[in-house]
Amino acid sequence: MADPTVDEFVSAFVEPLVLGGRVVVDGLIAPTALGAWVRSPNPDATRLVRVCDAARIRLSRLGAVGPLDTLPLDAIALAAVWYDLLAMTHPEAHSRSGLRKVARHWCIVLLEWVKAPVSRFEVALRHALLGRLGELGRVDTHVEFWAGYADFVGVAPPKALVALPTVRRVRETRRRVDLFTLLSSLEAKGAATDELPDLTDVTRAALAASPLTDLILADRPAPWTFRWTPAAINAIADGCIRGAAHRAVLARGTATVRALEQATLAAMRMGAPRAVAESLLRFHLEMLALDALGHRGAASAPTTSGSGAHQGPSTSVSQPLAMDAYLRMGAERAAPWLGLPVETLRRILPAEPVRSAIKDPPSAPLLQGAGLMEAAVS
Amino acid sequence: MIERVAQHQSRFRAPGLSPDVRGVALGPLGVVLVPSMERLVALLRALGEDGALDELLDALRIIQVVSPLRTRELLVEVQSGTSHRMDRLAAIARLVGAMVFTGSGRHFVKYRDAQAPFGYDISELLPEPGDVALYHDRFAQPYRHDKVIALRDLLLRLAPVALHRARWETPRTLYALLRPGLGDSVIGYLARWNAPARVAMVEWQRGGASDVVEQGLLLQLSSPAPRFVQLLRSLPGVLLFVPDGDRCAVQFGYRHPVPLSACAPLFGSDELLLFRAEGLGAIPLAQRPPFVDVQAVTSLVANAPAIVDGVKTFGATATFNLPLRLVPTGSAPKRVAAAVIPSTEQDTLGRILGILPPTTLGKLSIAFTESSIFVHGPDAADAVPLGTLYEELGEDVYIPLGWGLSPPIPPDVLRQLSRASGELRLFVTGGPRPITAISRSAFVPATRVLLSDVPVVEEEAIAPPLDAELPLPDLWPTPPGLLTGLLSPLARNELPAPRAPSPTMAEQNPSVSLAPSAGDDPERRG
Repeated sequence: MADPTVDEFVSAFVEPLVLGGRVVVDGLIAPTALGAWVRSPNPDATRLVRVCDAARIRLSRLGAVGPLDTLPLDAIALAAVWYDLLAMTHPEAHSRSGLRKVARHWCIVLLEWVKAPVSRFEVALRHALLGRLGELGRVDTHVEFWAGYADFVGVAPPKALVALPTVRRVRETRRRVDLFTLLSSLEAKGAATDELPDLTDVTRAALAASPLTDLILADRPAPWTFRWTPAAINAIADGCIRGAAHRAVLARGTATVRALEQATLAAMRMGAPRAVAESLLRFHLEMLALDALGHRGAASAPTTSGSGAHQGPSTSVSQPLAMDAYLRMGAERAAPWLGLPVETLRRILPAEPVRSAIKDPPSAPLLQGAGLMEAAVS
Repeated sequence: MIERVAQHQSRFRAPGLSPDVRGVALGPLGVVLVPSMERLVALLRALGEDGALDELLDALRIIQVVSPLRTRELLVEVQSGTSHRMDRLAAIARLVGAMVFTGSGRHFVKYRDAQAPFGYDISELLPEPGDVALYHDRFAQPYRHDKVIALRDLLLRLAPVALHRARWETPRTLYALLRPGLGDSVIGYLARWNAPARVAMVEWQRGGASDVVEQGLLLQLSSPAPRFVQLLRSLPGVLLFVPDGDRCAVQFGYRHPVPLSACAPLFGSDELLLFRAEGLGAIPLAQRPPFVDVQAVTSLVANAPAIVDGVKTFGATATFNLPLRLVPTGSAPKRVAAAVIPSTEQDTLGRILGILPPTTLGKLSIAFTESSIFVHGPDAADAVPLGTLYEELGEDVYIPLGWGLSPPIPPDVLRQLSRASGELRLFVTGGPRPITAISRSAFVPATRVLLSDVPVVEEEAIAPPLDAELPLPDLWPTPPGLLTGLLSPLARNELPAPRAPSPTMAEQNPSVSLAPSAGDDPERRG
């Protein structure tokens, strides 16, 4: 696709990505296309309304959404980065070092133009466009017939090839390759690794440029393991974005939550500043409270023992880091972090904190970073 | 007497006979022997209808001949030209029972037929051929010329034949011959109706033994309306003529036995012939009369009565002082356009309006008076089952459904008599003061009067929306440089350098402040 217009690009890539459907990836998009996009940034009005409606519905599942009637160009340009990265997942592009070098350069230029999001609107809209990125996949078809076989990457085999399946002994095998399996081909592997440009860091940067999407896809495999980035930290410092992230992450399940906790611990070990540690602590505590509240609403009543004492807080998703931090802090100290009365917090998370006897609790780095726990001086 | 011509035969006994290009024995002349005048007219008509007459006219001669038995027959002599022309002439002649011969001088032999495709030759010439000798397979007979009949004279003597009424057509141009006494009336009539007509004075000799010169007015009407045709046709003293060709016209409702349009060469280019029916004969006008427009010759004032002086007109100052009443009418009721409901039914009306469909409710407008509620809605007033239903008489005048006015005054007159301006809607309610006038501006949409006041509490959203244009807190500044901040900031031991807030952020939220960043509390990290 040589320098498409905004409308052509939205039609081919963004619209099916948001609404669902067949995403067409054909060639690379050069940063030179941005010039024309800046001059005429609006796609066809009907398509714009359709995409905006779907994006608003998607965002409204995560939080309150205002009237949405435009697609910001930074989100479209970020989608163009993903377009280029997906184009490079084609098997024939894997060994072409020149092409990979060009793609890497173009992606970096585009990402430099996109920059990290600076407002709540940018975070939300980038996620609205890229929120279904994890659902992307490529259907490869392997066709065997009486005279041989053929492989089709991402396209359906021609009808003539699969005609008269009984007579021609045609057997089709379809395999859906998910996003991160596709992206694994961007890693420089093989014999000529030294000469082959690596696109992994560009992929990580592209993920980081949409912090909400980055958080929600936290359970991704190596080498794209989730790490806290300045963009994500700044995003969750905003109350609305944090609430949206909580809802989305909890809906993803335990694996995503555990990946976030691991990333938090990694950040603490790397020495994040106190403000970041406080923000992360608030993020995890709120997610714990939200999960308990939601699980409490889903369950009929909190479980009680025969003596009437609560056995412990009931949550749907295991959050050992947050739970440990809460138990160590106690409801009195945790309540101001959550902006809740102590009594209310006790009803939400009723178990009394008990100091653990172990010397190195899991939440220690986080609590230390937030200034809530004295560090052991060796 | 005659014998068949063989193929490629080149020598003939008949004088002047020679083979043409097809080998047919053909003389320079062709003659048609017609037994009677009726057959001759039939032959001419058939030739005219076929279109062959005008090409034969240049050398056509009609000769009355006498046989040795003193019977009179007619010979039509034409130039044979080619065998194709003769074939067509022979086919038409056989149709009317005539015989066709060819030859030259005095001897004419039978023209070819199916038995002799190359024609016939004379086996032996008559010793005394007379003026003309005709050789047929059944006879060979000499004839003597009696007289030559000019075709033009024949055409002028023939009387037009009546057409069936179903075949009458209104022509594009129509001539009307008027007696002089009818001229002013008819011309004045046509001038008043602005009919496209022109007129000329014509004179012609009565003919025969009389020397009387007759006069008349000849009207030429272009595309006359059927009513003019019907009127002129019904007038005694008026004869209508329909053009047949450029130079002839035949009386309306008749046709000439011979198509005159095929005989144009027989008449002069400036000549106009009017063929009258019923034995009146034709009127030959040597010159086409100079027509002038009827408007030019119409005298509008000459015969008008003298202007009457001293007549005074009076306005209709006096009236009959009849009361305006409502009377039941048997005519079909019109559409309900309004309803008048007593004020006592106000609550019921309100509840009814409250359950009407929105489309119906949107079409209703309501005016309140002390005693009644006037509901107006030409498409929706019938949805209100209360009070008296009204239909519109016209001009925004409404009368009860199923009632009429007595006397039956039109609505505009009623509006004038009531001295009501156009801004008022008039409802004829009957009684001693029969009309109630309501200003249009008094009618307000029904949707506006259903509710008196709607209490409103303004509330604010707890949280701004997810996509509000609010800057993010710059908790962990992204360092400048090529993707430095986005890739792996925590892989480095030192914290990223703080960045200045972007100009847009600073404009949007000047109070945003950067959180402390690098190395804010080294002791805590131990």
